[in-house]
Amino acid sequence: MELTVLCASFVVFLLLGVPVAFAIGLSCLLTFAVEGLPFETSIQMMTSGMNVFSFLAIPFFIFSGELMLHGGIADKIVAFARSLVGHWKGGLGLANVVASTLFGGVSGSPVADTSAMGGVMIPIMKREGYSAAYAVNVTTHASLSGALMPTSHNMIIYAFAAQAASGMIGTHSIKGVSIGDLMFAGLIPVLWIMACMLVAAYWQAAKFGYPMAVDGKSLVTKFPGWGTVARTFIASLPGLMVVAIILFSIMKGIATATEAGAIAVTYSLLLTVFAYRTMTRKNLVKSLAKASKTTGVILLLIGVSNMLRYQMAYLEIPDTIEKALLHATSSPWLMLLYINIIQVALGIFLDMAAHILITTPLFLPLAIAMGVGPVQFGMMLLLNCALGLVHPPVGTVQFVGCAIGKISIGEATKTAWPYYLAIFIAINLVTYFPSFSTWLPSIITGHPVF
Amino acid sequence: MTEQESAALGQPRGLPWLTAMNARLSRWTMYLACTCLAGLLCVVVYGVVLRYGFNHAPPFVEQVALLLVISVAMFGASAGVRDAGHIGLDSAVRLLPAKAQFWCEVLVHILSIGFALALLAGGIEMARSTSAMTIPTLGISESVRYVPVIAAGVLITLFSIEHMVAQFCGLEVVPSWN
Repeated sequence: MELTVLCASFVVFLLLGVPVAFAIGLSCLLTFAVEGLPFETSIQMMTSGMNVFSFLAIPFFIFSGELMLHGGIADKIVAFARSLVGHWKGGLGLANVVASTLFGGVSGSPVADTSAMGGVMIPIMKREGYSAAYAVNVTTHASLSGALMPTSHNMIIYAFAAQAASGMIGTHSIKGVSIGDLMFAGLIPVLWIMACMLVAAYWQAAKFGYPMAVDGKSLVTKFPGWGTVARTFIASLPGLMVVAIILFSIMKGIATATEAGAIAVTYSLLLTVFAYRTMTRKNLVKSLAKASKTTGVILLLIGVSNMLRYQMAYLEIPDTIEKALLHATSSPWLMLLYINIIQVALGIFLDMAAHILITTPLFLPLAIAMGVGPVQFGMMLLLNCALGLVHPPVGTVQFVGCAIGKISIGEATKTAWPYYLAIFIAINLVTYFPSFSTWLPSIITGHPVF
Repeated sequence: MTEQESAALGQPRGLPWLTAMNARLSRWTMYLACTCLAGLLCVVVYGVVLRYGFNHAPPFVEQVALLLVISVAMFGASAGVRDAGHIGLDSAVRLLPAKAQFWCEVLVHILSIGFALALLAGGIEMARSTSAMTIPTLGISESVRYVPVIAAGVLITLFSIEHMVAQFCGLEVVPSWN
């Protein structure tokens, strides 16, 4: 009965269009009422869910991303990327991929990445002989790497959702997940995605003859020289350093993720206000306001997810799902395929934070039982979520890109398949080749990572 | 159509006093959230500097930071309700006829008010039951932790009522902070 109330009310609220955080909160409150538990306990659970020192990293990572977005770093990264690969066929598309990946590392947010890079690159690409759909697809899909970068607040959310993970992989005991391991685990998949996006962007540009003038003439430019490449790289280097600061401080044990986040914000502030002198008072307030609002939305989700976690454990939902899936198959290969299919389907409808918070407790225990560690599972989950960001009907990143490019979602989606294919390959590599995501953190930290 | 535009056309204006009050409340809520976020940054950086620079970890930093983060979260989430900042899944509702869509949206506002009232009542009850306890290292009552929750309950209720009234009058709620 309680399980029916929880699941049915959640689905009904979600379909009605109730904000996800409220839908989770209301369905949990209803279930508390049916169970006869005092409802103030649920409010206490929500508050204690948000009141964790490690979560302070979330507002800091978001704020740092907003400062980079409004601080004019994007132009410098674009200049570097253009000087490096802009003279090739489809040069602006390739420059866009490189710039979006680099800015993804600086902002840690695919949406911020698309806003910043799309705002600069899409109008230029349209003007210089590329179709709007090509410009939008290149930007939105390359921006997805932001979700796997060390500055990604979604990694912190996943670390929270996976904190109760336990089990054995071989002879190794698993207990929770290290944020440092996660940050390093994302780097090789990000490089892979960037390489695949470069191939896809080049292939499409060659196929359609981009860049092309209205009269059909090629608009490929000349290489500006290594001096320009070096000059633009030096100009963008201070902005890119934020990734190195976070990774270095966590790797060396100098700071926790929260402290690294605070250091990143301070660095971004000093850089944009004093070094680049690009941060205006208006943009600073805008960054603060946007970061506060996004923090509110995400932390409220985390708070209500704490209620949901309690209910799921109380009603033994993960056990039920585990049994149902184990009944369907005992082959790890097929099981992981099922998990990926379910996650891609959910990712199409759910926002990234909600997706991570809801599905981690459901599938992580099963994944551990199948020999997939929490770090590898985290990469699978983040990639599956990322795919949902560029897919209708809730593809936030695609919405932002299409709004900037002034085209419809349908128009953009028609030619997006090479980019979907690139992410699909990345998901399968992460799923079936553990070392694809765990090799680098194992080498760097010196301990086995799963 | 905004309230000013509808007034110029002699159409229903909703509840102008509620709109004016909520616009101001929403702005101040955002100011508070921004101040708390800036304060949070200062407190954590202060803790880092003292710990690494002077080998002294101030004991109050963690508790102050936790109080500030819950304030940022609750005030930010409340402002998100007025400015439609929360993420919902509306693709199913968009498939329905216009009249059904209208009533679904009304229901969403009613459910949002229900959630806000639960926050308010639960927050008051938790503040009451923890008032005798003190936060270690700060010496203030534990009930302070629930003040932002109570405030969020009130704010989300007011903002949702405004959205509902505006919907019945065919108006748009103009975000007070863009």
